[in-house]
Amino acid sequence: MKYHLLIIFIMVTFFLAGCQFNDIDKRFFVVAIGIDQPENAKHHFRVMLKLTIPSAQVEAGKSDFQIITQESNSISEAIRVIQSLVDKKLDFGHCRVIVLDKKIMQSNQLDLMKWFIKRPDIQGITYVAVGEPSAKEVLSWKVKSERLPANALVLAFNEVTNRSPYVLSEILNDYYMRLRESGIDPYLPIIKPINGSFKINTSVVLKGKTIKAELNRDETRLLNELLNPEKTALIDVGKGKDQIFVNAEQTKTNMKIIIPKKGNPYVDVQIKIKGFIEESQKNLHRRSDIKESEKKAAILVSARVKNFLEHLQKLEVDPLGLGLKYQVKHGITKNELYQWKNLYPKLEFHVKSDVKLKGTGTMY
Amino acid sequence: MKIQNKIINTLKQQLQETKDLIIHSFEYYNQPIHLVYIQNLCDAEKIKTDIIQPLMLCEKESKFLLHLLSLTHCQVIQNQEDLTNLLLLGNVLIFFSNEIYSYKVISVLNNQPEDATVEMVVQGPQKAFTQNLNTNLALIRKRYPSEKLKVEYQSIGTLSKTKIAILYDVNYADPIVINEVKNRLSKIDIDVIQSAGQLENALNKRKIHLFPTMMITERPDRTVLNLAEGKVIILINGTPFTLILPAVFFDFISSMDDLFHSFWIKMLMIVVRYLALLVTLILPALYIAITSYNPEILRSQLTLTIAGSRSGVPYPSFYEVLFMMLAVEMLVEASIRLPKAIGPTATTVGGLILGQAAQQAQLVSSIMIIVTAFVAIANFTIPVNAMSFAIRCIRYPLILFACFFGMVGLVGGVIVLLCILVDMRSFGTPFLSISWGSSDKIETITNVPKGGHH
Amino acid sequence: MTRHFFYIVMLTMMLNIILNVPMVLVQDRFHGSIISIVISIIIGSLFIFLFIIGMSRFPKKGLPEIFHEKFPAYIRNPYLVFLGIMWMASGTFALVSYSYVVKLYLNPEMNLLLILGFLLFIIIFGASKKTDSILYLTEIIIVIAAPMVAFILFKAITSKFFYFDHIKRMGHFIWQIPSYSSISAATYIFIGYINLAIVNRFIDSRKLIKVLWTLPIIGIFVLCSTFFIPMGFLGVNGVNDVVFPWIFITDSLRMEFGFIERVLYLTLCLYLLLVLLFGIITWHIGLKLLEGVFIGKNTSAKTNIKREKLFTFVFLIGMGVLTLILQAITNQRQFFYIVKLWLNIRFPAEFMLVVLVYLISRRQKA
Repeated sequence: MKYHLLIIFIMVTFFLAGCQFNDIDKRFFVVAIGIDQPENAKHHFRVMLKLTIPSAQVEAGKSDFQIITQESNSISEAIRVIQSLVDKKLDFGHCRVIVLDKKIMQSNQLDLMKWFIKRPDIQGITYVAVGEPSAKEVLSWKVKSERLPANALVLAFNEVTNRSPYVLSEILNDYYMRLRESGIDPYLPIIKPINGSFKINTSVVLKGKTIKAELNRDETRLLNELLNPEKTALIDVGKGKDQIFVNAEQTKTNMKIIIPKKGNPYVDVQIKIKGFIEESQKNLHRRSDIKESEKKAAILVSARVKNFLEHLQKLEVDPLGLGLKYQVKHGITKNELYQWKNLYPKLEFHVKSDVKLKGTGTMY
Repeated sequence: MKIQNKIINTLKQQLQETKDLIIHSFEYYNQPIHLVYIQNLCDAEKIKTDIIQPLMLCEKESKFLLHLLSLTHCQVIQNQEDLTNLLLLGNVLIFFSNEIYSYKVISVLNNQPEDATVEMVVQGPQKAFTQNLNTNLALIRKRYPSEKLKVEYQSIGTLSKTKIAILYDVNYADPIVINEVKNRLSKIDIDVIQSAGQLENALNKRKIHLFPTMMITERPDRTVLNLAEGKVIILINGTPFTLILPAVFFDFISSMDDLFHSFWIKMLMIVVRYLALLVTLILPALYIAITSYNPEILRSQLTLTIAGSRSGVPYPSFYEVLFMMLAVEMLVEASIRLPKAIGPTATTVGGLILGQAAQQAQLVSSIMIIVTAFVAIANFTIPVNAMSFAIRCIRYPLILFACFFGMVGLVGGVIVLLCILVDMRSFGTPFLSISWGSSDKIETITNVPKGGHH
Repeated sequence: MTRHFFYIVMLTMMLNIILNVPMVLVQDRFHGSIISIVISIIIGSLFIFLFIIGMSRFPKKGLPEIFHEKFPAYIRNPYLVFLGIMWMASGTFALVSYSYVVKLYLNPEMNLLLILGFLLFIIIFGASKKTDSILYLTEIIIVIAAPMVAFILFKAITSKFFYFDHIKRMGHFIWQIPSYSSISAATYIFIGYINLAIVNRFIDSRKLIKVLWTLPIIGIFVLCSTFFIPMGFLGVNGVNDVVFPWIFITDSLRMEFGFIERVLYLTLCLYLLLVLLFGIITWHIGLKLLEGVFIGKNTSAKTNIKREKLFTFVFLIGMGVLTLILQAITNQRQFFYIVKLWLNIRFPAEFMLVVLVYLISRRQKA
C-alpha cells in the first residue's frame, strides 16, 4: 500500500515538472536599466536594458553585453516588446543599476518609480542614478577594468569598496521613500562617462517629485558627508604655508529645528568630526599647534556647511530631511506641511562644529 | 552397552552420516568407552591432554570420573535429545560407564584483536573487537571491571543458532529499554544471522527504514563508554561489531576522538562535522534550486560565472547533478568492493579523468565539479558509516523537491526530513531532540559524569 | 519540556512580525494603533497568565480531558470542534498569506494553488506526527531561526536607510481611540499560549508561572518592531503602499560580507521555515482538539490505532482541500478581509476560552 502511494506520488510530481524550471543559462540577466527621453514624441519613455552575455572565463575588460532599446508609453509594454526581441527569458533579479535621463526627471517621478517598486524581482538595493549626457551613453560605456557588465558602477556606488566622499549613492527603496514622503527630498548622483571609466562626483536634487537643480562637486561632497557619517571627508584648512589637510574619519551631524518665542526660528547644527592630519606644510610639534588647527578647521567646516545649507534653502530643496524634524515636533497634518513650506525659506542656520584631531600621521 | 551403541547410531543418522563425525571406541577399565565429536570443530590437542592422558594415568574408574567432573566445561547429560546440538556446538561426547558426559573442546578461531579499520581515531585505543564472543566479553570486562555489569546469553537464528550476549550496567540501564530489547529479540524470526547490521534490521520495528536507530561499532572503547552511560550492548558471535542501543542522532555525528582532544579542537571538529552534514545534504539540491529557479539569490558575480560555465551544457541542471552524483556513488561503491591493490586505480580513473573530461566535454559545468567534490568529501567526514550512508540516500529526495519547487522545495524538504527524524524513537528515546547538557541525556560522546557507583 | 512552551509562543510572535498583524496595524496607524499595542500587551499578558494558572491546576491533562470531566457531550463536543477549527484557521491563514509571498518573490511563475498545495503537503505530513515529536521539531527550528530573526532585526535597526524621524512623527498619533480590530490584531501575537491546551499533557505548567514575566517584555519588543520598523524605512505614508511591508524593507538591507548578499532571501527562507512550523503546530493542535471529541469511545486497541490514523489523514487532507478552495475562490484583497474578520472573531473566542478555563480551575481547587 505504502509503495503504491509513493509511486503514485512520484508519478504525479513528474507531471508538475517544467512549470517554472528554467535554467540559469536559459535566462538573459538584465544588469542595468536605462530610461531616456524618446525620440518619437508620441511615446513617453525610451527603455534600455543592458543584458549580459556570460562567458566561462572572466577577464578584465572582457565584459560582454548587449543593449536593447525600445520606445513605448509604459515600461511594462516596452519590456514585453523587448522580450520578443531576445531569445531567452529576461531576468531582472540581478539588475543593480537604474540610470535615468535628466529630461525624464522633469515629469513626475513617482509613477515611474512605482513600476520598479512593484516588480518583486528588481532588488530594493538597486542603485539609482542620473546619466549624462544620456542614459544610453552611460549604459553602453565600456570600462577598462570591468570584468562583468555594469559591475564597475555597482562597485563605485558600494560604500565598502569605494569610500570616496564625492560618490553619492542612492538605492531604489530609499529613493522611493523620499519621493513618497513629504518633508524629505530625493537626490541622485550623476554618472558621466569619461575615457575608460566613469566620473561620479556631481548630483542632482529634486524638489518634491521633479528635478530642481544640480550640485557641483564640492556641494555633492558636503551633502554626502552630511548624509553618510561613515564617509571619510577631506577638509583643507588655511592657505599657503599654513595649509593643512584633515582626513575626517567620523562625521557626526546633529540637526535640530528650534523655534524660539522671540526671534527668528533657526536650525541648530552640531557637527562633530574626528580625524587625522594628512598633509601639512608646517611641523606640528606642540599641543597648541594641534589645538589651533582644530579651531581653524572647525571654523572652516562651520562656514562651509552653513553656506551649503543656505544654498539648499535657496533652491527650496530638503534632502537632509529638515521637514521631517519639523513634523516630529509639530505634527504631520496638511496645515503643518503648509506652515513648514513658508517657514523653510526663512530659517537661519546656526552651525557649530567641533573638530578633534587624533594625530598627525607618521610625521609631526 | 547396547543402548550406547544405539544412541551413537541414531546420532550418526541424525547428522546425515557425515564423514567428519569421529567416533573413537576403545576399552578401558574393562568396559567400552566412546568418544564422539566433530573433527574440525574440536581441538584434538585438548581431547588428548584433558581426556586421554588422564585416563591413562588414572588406575581406578572412580578417579577418572572425578577428574572428568572437575573439568569446567564438563557435564553429565540427562536429556538425550540435546546430543546433536552439543556436538554441533563443539562438544565431545564421552560414553562411559552407562553415562554420557559432554566436554567442550571447541577450537577457538579469530580471537586476536586486530586494528580498527572501520571507525578510526587518531589518538585513542587502536584495537577493535575480535570475531569471538568470549574474547570480546573478556575485552569489555577488562575495560569495565564493575560488579554491576550483567551478561545474558541468547541464541538467535533458527539455523545459525548464533550466540549473542546482552550486556548492561544494572545501575544505569533503563529497565524499560532492556525489556523492550528482550521482547523484540524473542520475536525475531530469521534463519541465519551473521552480522550486527542484520540483527539491527531484524530488531527494527519498521521493515523499511533509512536511518539507523542502533549504533554499530567495532571499538571496545566506544562500547564501554556507552555501557557506562546506561546503554544496552549486544555482542554477536562471529563478528567484530557490537550493537549499542538506544542511539540518538547526535551519537552518529560524534567520534571517539572528541573525548581525546582539548576543548577548542573538539569544538572545531564538531562544527566542521555539522557543516559537512549540511553541505552534503543540501548542496546538490541548492545548486538546482539556484540555477533553475532562483538565480537572484547569489551575488551577481557568482551568478554570471555559473551562467557562463553552464552555457555550453545541453541538459537541465538536474541531469547534471544526477550524472555527477551517480558517478561519485559508483566510485565509492567500486572502491569498497575492489581489492586493495586495484582500488587506487579506480579513484584515479573516476576522480581525475571523469571529472576533468566531463567538464571539458561540456557535459557538466565547472562549478558542478566543485559541488560534487565538496559533497563527496563532506560526506566522508561523518564518523559513523551507517549515518553516512543514510545521508547519502536522503540527498536524492531533496534533489527531487528542489527540482519541482526550487528554494521552497528545498526548505520544505528539510522540514519533512526533520519531521521524520524527530518522529523516530530508538527504544523509546527520541532520536533527534536537543537536550541542553543535562546529565540524563543519552549521548555517546559526553564528558558529563553520571556520578560514581551507588 | 517547559521551554517548549516558550518556543511556541516565541514562534507565533516572530511569525507575526511579518504576517497579517502588521497589515491591520498599519492600516489603522492614524487611528490608535499605538495605544492598541499598549492595551494589547496588557490584555495579552493577562490572558496568558489566567490561562496558565487555569491549566496548571490540571497537571498532565489536555483541554479535551478537562472538558470531558466537566461538561456533558452536547456542550463539550461543539465547543471543541469550534476551538479546533479556529485554531487550524490561524495556521491556514498564515499559510495562504505566505503562499502569496512565495508567488511574489520566490516562484513567480508557478501556479498559486500548486505552491499552496506543496506547503499543505508538508504541513499535513508534519501534523500527523506525535505531539512530543512536534515539540522537538519546534525546538530545533526555533534554535536555528531565532538568532537569524534577531540578526535581521538588528540589521534593520542599524541600517543607514532606517530613519528614526519617521517613527517619531508617529508620536502625534498616540492619543487616538483605538479601533477594535487593531486591538484584536495586536493581541494576536500572544496567541501561542493557546497551544498549552494540548501541550499541557507534556508540560509541567506550574513551572511556567515563574518565568512568565519575560513574555510581555518580548511582546513589547516584537509589537514595536512589527509596527515601527517598516515605517522607519518607508515613511508613515509609504508604508501603506506595500502589501508586505516587512518583506519589502528587508530588501533595503544588504549583507556586505554575507554568502547571500540580499537579506530579503534570508528572510524569505527563514520565514518559510517558521510558517511551515506554525502550520504544523496549529494543525496538529487543532487535530488533537477535534480528536478530543472521541474520547471515551474506545474500542479494541489495534483497530483504534488504525482508525485514528485514518481519521487523522482524512481529516487533514479534507482541511487541506478546504484551504485550497479558499485560496481558489478569493483574491488577495478578499482574503485579507477574511483574515481581518477572523481576527475580530478570534478575540472574543479567546476571551471566552481563557475565562472558562480559569473558572473551572477555580472550582477544581474548591
